[in-house]
Amino acid sequence: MVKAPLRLGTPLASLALAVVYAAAAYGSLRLFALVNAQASPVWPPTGIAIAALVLWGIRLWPGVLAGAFVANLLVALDPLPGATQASLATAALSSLAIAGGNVIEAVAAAAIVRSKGGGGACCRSATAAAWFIAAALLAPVASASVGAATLVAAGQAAAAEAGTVWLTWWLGDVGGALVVAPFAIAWMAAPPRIIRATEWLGIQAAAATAAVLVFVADLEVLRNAPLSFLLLPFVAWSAMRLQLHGVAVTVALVAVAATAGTVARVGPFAVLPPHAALLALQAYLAVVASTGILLASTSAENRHTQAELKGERTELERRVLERTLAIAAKQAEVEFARKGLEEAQAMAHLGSWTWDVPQNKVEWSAELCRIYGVPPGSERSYDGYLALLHPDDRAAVDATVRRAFATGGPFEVRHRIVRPDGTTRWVIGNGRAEQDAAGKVVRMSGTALDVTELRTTEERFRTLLEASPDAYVVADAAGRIVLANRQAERLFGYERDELLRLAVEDLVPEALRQRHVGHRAHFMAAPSVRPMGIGMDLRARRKDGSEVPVEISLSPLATADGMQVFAAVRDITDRKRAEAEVAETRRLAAANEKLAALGTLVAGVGHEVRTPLTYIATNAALVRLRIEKAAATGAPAAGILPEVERPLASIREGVGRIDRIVQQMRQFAKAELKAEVGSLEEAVAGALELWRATHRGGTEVEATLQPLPRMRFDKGQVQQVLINLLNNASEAMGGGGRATVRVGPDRGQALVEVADHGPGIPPDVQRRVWDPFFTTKPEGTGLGLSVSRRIVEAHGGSLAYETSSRGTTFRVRLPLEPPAGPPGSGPEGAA
Amino acid sequence: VSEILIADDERQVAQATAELLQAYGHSVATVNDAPGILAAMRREHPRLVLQDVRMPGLDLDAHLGAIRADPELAGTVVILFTATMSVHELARLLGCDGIVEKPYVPEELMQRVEEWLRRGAGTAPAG
Repeated sequence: MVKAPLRLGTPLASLALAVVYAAAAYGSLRLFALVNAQASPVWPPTGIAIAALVLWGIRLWPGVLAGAFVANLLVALDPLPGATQASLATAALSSLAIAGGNVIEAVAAAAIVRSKGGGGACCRSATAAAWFIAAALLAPVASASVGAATLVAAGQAAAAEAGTVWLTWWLGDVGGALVVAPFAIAWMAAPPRIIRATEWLGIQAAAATAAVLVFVADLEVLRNAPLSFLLLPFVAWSAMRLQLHGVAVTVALVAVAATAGTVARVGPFAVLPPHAALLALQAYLAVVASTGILLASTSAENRHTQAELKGERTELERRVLERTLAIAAKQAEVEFARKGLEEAQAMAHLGSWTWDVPQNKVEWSAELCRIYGVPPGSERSYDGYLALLHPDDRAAVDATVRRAFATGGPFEVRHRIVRPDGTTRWVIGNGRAEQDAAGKVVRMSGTALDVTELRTTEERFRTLLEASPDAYVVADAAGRIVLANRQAERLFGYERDELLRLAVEDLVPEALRQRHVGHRAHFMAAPSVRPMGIGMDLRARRKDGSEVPVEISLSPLATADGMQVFAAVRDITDRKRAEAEVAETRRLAAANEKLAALGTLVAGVGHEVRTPLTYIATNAALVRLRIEKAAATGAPAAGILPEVERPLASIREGVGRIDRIVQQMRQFAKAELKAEVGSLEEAVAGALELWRATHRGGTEVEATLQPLPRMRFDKGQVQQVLINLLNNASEAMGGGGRATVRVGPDRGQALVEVADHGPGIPPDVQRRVWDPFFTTKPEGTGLGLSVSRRIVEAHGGSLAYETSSRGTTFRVRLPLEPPAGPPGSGPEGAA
Repeated sequence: VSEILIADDERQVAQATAELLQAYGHSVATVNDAPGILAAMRREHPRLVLQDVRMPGLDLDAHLGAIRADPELAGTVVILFTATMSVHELARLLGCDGIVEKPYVPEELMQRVEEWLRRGAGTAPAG
């Protein structure tokens, strides 16, 4: 349904129609009414009326009535010269009748066009066009008949003229209907779709040119030539190319040119008398218009059909495409799943295969082909498969597969393959045979896993295990050896096979075996990584019964076969030897310590000896001086004696003092002296004297020596102990202070006590006081206390200390022996 | 009042040296303990002190400092006996006038004492 662009209320629209209609009608009557003032051979108002009623509704018919009435009344009251002046009443009546005929005509034509001709979209098909043409031909019959009858009845036309009037009337209306209505309807209903303006204008210009040449130009050579047919190709061209809108314009152009020429008495129709010329013109225009309308409608229908066909084809194509896409999507899904499986297989190095037995069709997955190094998709067969196996594994795999084929059920094989390129891979194959109801194998399928990398890792692990400098032994909870490396073979002297038949206890010295079983149970109950027997002398028993010192660390292993223990065993024979060497070195160092002490002693002794030497020399000089004086005075020799007695005694005393120092030094320096029976307090007194003589600081020593029974001891060594303790005491007091030495019996033992008043031994130092080589002195050897303790302990005694912030007391306790001979002499004082 | 004071805890050394010096014609006093030295010096006003470097309770540095700080004693010639240190070291360290290393040759000691008495305190480097 085409909507009318013009929207007016019915009365207003009717009035507008009336005005237009009246103007067109009046003009036409005045211009073209030749045989009768009220019958024009050119009658556009019919086309205007039909178009208006088709477009805006039949209800506008009063506009037609009014327009026609006014136009006819005006003509009737103002007749052409020579015509009869009708009375007003007659004129009104006849005009009303004529207007009524026009209304009938317009309403009938509009009704037909609206119901059968497509209405506002008229002439879109050949059928609709035919209905339109039919309406245009039939409806004017009413108008012409009413009009002719009215004119005769009103006496405005002779009865003899009735036929001519009717024909004129009818032809005029038909022409108006065919030329004007389609033009108006098409252009008012919808704007034209001008796709190619050049073509559009070109055709119209060509048609206009032709129309002017034929109908208006009145050229000498073509004067009145019957060339009206020349316009038909242009109309046809316009109709075919430009549709109804275009042909409407073309027809209008032809109509204007032809009418103008004919009225001006030129052109093909001018050979006829004026009225006949106009009739012929109308007939011509009706034919031209009908042809244009028909061709345009046919063309439109063709186009529409083509468009419809095209639409259907598009729809069909769409459906085909949809189905194609759906199928493609499905395929993509399948492909995706296949790809996914392939990728999964590739990642897992897991290939798969199937064998359809009845069809003897073998299929390998892409990954399986990759594992075996064969091109994917190639023809596969069982023999071809066997050919890819490592020659050493081929028979075993073949047998396994045949057995599975014969009996059904799953199978697993581990084997090597040799790829066509010569590389060897390790594969674990799993397979399954499916049987039908009769027990016949119908299908076999399986997988192959490439475990070469795993084997490589395993081999690396083995290499590592074998290359280790330590012996490794893994035993299960029952103590059975399940793994041993090459070092274990070397350490224990067994072959690998022998080791794997033994229990760990076989590697333990016989005396300890029973206890070891308990240790093992204990470890399994609370497994943890631990060193074994730290500080203990662990020994391993070799196959030949000999024992080697070892160090062992244990780690629990949680395995699929239960808890196991991993033992790393290290042969420490070499280390033991090294340790012995260190001990020897230490022993030598201790001897050196003694030498060093002796060196200090000698230096000190030098000073001590100098003092008596000084006064010996001085006294000697004095003696000489006095003797010289006496000699000079001639006094008797006997008289000089009292004067030199004191210096001489002093000289003797000095010599004795030097001798004592030398004696003590000799005793101290004597190495590894054997114990002798002697007096401990005497030895201590000597040591004190020696220490005082050699001490370089300001420490004073206060000694209390109580009598002791004679006892066996190594005097030199005991004196060394005392000197060491005194050195420490002096050191503790910063080289000054007062140390106390007490000697006496105590609880059945001989006690020698050396006390200082220093700040005491700090707690962190206490732990290490006895450590050899531990020292707090910048130049100490750290051996003093350890050597002292060794000496005391070698005598069967003990050395201990007591320390506080007020000082430290070292106590040497030596066993008292029953007197081995005459009771010892009394105490000798010493200072 | 004595010309020379001998301070040594070794009585044998002190007495022998004193007698020798007396034999050479000097008046000599002796002291055997360190705390008694200063008192003896104030009592005897010796021109020269022969003193051992190592005596129980003797802080040599402080002792010599006290002598030099006391206007009454500062002019005394102080000679040290030593059996341990390098004489030059000790002299430099302590700022004394001279040092005699034990054991000395008695005649040499006598000779040097004469020399030091001649020169007076603080006049010569240690010899």
